Amino acid sequence: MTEVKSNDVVLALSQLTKRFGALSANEDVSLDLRQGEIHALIGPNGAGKSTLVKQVAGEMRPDSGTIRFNGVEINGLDCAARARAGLGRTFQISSLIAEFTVLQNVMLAVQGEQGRSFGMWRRFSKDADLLERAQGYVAELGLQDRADIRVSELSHGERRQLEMAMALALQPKALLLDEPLAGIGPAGSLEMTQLLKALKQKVPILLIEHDMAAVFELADRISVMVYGRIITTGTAEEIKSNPQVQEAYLGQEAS
Amino acid sequence: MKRENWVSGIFIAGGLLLVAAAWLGDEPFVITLATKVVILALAGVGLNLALGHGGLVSFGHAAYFGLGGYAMGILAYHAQSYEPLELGWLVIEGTKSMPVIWLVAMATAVLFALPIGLLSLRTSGVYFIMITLAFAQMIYYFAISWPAYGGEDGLSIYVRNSFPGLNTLDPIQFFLICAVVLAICLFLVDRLVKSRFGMALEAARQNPQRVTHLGIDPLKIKLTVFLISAAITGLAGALYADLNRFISPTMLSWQVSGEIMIFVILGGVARFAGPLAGATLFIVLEHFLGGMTEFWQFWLGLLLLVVILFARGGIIGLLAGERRHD
Repeated sequence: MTEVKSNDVVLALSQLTKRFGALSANEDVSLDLRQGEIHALIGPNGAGKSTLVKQVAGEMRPDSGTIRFNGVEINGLDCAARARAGLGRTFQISSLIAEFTVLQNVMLAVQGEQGRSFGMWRRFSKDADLLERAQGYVAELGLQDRADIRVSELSHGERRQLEMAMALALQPKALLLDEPLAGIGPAGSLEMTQLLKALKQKVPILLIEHDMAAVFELADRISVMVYGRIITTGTAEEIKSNPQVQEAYLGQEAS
Repeated sequence: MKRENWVSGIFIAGGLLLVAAAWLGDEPFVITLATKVVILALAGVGLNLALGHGGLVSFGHAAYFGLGGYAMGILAYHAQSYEPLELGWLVIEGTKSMPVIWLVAMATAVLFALPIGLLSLRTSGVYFIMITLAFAQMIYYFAISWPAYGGEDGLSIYVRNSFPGLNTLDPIQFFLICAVVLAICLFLVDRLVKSRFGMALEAARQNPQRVTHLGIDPLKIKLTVFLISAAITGLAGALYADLNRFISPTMLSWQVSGEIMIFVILGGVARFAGPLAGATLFIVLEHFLGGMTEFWQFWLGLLLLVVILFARGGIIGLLAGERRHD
């Protein structure tokens, strides 16, 4: 692997360890995310990917190790502060405001990015600052025809698209995507893949994904996690030909 | 216009017509009853903000209602006895001016709601209900055992407090003061609910975790709404004390918390005119059924059960026939 300039690194995890009693969910995990890339994290179920995501997002504190975001250590920041700092994310299981419409969800995300949530006088629904930007993100994800539909009536794939629109509305400096392709069907998957490809120039993406074809197509680098450890990091070609990976992960999947 | 707005409008207009008729027909008792409805509805508007819009099921709003009442009682007591209230270096002259009393009542409610909210908002569900109840009971028992302002017997204020330019002892004028205060609060709450803050609150109620990841702290949003809610209920308490010209620890009791909650649930949770409809029905039942049978609360309980089982939107929801937020 080539040496990287440190100012290219947006997100750097170093030696993260998280244990639940005797179970070591993450052991000495180090990886970084650089400007302009998609870095995929793969691994069998139960490998500890979700635990890692939670620590990066701020839902869980690591037992040891540090997380640096744009060169600043963010271990002490909570979820809201990390979101404000520019760490966007989507959720493995869609997490949206169910009684809001598509547009309202995105407007709320824009509001979160703008950081003015204590205005009590002007009407939210007529707030041009929110509306224009939100409509832009809704259109970017191809949801403009569904803008006034309540989330509870959306299909699974549409929810994932909405998640992305909300993540983008936060104008993130890095994106943490937890299985964005899960359950959106082949057509949606293709669209989302295109979107992520276009997006990575603007925002580097740490991608957790089970769809191997998509990962190999999208990822500039792939890290493989097994039993809480990262066993290797490399390009798609390197990972495909790595015997350790084939044994631990791809071999299982093929059988 | 939405059907719910029509229902609310017709309901409010009908109420005002009834009061106008009572005024023309010289029925001060009906006007006083209507004043009571308006004040209790105001207490409900406060709770509805926390309970309906914020999902904060406070079972301790009697604390703010009673504190508002005591704020009025203590200020008026020192005014009528011409003895200033001395708190060390701080000397407070009593006052009989309603606007001043209202501000003090709201400030007192907020002052108490701040630590109570900070502690209780760390919990949710049944624990939140129990903690808010526990704090209210603490204040209730303190009021009972505090002899300075009448203790268990309460405290009478001989003359109703004054409002610049009005004769507050005239029932219709006092009714109008209360009705205008209620209208202003309803209007402000409606603006708040539909603002950025209101939407953040609504979202925080439904999915606090998601809101956090949007960079909005749900705890701050909920605490703020809890304080506003307490202030409105405190204001209602001051008016209620003025209506009766009497305060006692009863205003702080958990039964009052329950009654305020009944107004909200009967009328329709998170509905604009819900607390008003609920308080109206409650007072009508208390007055007419209470005149017929001592066991009127049995029928109230039965009605509440029916509403909870079959009409989750309360009276307003039943008449408007729509899901909320449509």
